[in-house]
Amino acid sequence: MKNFEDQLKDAFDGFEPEAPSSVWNHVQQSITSPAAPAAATKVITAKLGWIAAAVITIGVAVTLLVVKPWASKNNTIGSRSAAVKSELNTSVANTETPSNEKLQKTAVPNSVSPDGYTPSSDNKITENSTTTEKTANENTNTTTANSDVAVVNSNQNASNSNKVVSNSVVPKSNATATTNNNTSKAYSIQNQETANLFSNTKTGFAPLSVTFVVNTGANTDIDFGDGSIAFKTTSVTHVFTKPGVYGVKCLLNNIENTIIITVLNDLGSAFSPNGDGINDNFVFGGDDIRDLTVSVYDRSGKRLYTGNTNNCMWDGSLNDVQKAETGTYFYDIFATSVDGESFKQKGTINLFR
Amino acid sequence: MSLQPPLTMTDEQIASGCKSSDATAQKALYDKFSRKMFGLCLRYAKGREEAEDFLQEGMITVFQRISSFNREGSLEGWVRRVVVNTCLEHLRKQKLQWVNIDEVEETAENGFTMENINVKDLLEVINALPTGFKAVFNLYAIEGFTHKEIAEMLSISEGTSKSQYARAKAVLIKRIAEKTITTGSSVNE
Repeated sequence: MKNFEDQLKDAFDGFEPEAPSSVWNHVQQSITSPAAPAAATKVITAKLGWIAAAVITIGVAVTLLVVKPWASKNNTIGSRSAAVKSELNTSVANTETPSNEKLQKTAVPNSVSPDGYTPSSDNKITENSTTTEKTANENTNTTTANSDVAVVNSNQNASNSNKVVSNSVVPKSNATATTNNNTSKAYSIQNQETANLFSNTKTGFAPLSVTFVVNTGANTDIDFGDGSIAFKTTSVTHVFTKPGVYGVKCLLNNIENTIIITVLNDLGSAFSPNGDGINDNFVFGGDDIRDLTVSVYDRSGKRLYTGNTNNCMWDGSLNDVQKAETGTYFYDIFATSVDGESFKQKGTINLFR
Repeated sequence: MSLQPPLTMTDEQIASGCKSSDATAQKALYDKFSRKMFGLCLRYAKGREEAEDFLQEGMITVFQRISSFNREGSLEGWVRRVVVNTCLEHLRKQKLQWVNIDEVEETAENGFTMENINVKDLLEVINALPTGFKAVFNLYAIEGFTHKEIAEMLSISEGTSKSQYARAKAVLIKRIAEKTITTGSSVNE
């Protein structure tokens, strides 16, 4: 009788299922246009892409309200729209200009009910991602062509308006220190009419601690989208424990903007590099990471390991000879997710031998 | 030039055509290997959709790196290697999961037969394995890499690769046996 391996090889010999034609189409697209490799990865990241698309659509919808009066006058697609397109990382090269009627139809429902953020099933998401993305793309094409102001607005709406607040003004772990003065300063820079809710970060690995600030001065209830709600507050730090995409919004005081928080995979907090094949490496990164650098430090602040996107696994060694001892170590991650959101995150690792 | 690739195109013609970005040769390469590679991706991926992604990215990488293909080995072997690496790259990014030793009982290989299981069920059993496990298993049993090579590819020790493989094999044998029993076909003990 044949051994196990040979039987297996035989079983898979001639297992040559037809791949869907869409795969070849993507491949062909990618190899004929040199700028397209990003588009190839797009399919994999459909989940996040959908979210991005949803955000973009809402952004565009808001823009549309501003732009609409003179939207029909000018239909040329400027180079600016191409820039926006590539920034939004959309893969469909769409040069059609839809009618304004169509724009309204597609964009407005999204802005009215921002409840549809939480994806229900993977299949659905993939389908949605293509349609919504396309819609968003079409919209961007028309609207951005008409007014530079609109481009700026939609762009800010789409790619998370509160970056200024997030990185420079509100320190991540310092919710109570945040003052309304600070946020309103950032607010005026942003010139956003509807954004009154801000967060210090949008993306990160689970568990993700996010500080939200409301800049109207009045207390409001904040729904984190994961089943919990903070009551009557202007500033609160919330920890998202599970990976997923959450729409965070204010329930009171007519603050309309929703912040999309993307919580990536959990990196874990411990590993045991003892060569038993179980949890021997600490892996930084995940499917939804486009770019990453990481440093690991010991208690004294000495850097022990640096990793990047292609090599983001620490095996607990200090160099070729020495190994790190059992203890607590600290990491700093700078990363960009597939939907283009950059973030930094700190964490601790417990090493056991 | 006709866009329909001639059936008689040799691997050498395909490779040199692809190196000069000839569309006919590219299509010929894809047509020749995509089904085989899709079958391969299905063994590494969680499901069909992920397998399609792997295949797509793998084939793009193939065309991007075709210049590094020398004629020492076969074209198929080279394509396979590139696609396998693409799959592994993705699995590495996910946290590789391994199986706890305690969960696995040693199963005797004697009398084991795969005659009563079809590829679809087999694939299902393999796909249900934890990712690290699955990778080692595929690489060793089907792709035919040595444990030393696998250790390098997955950044694990050779011993880990060996022990994980032994466990994966035991689990698989057990599950295949269960599967053939539950699907009604008889297995001779």
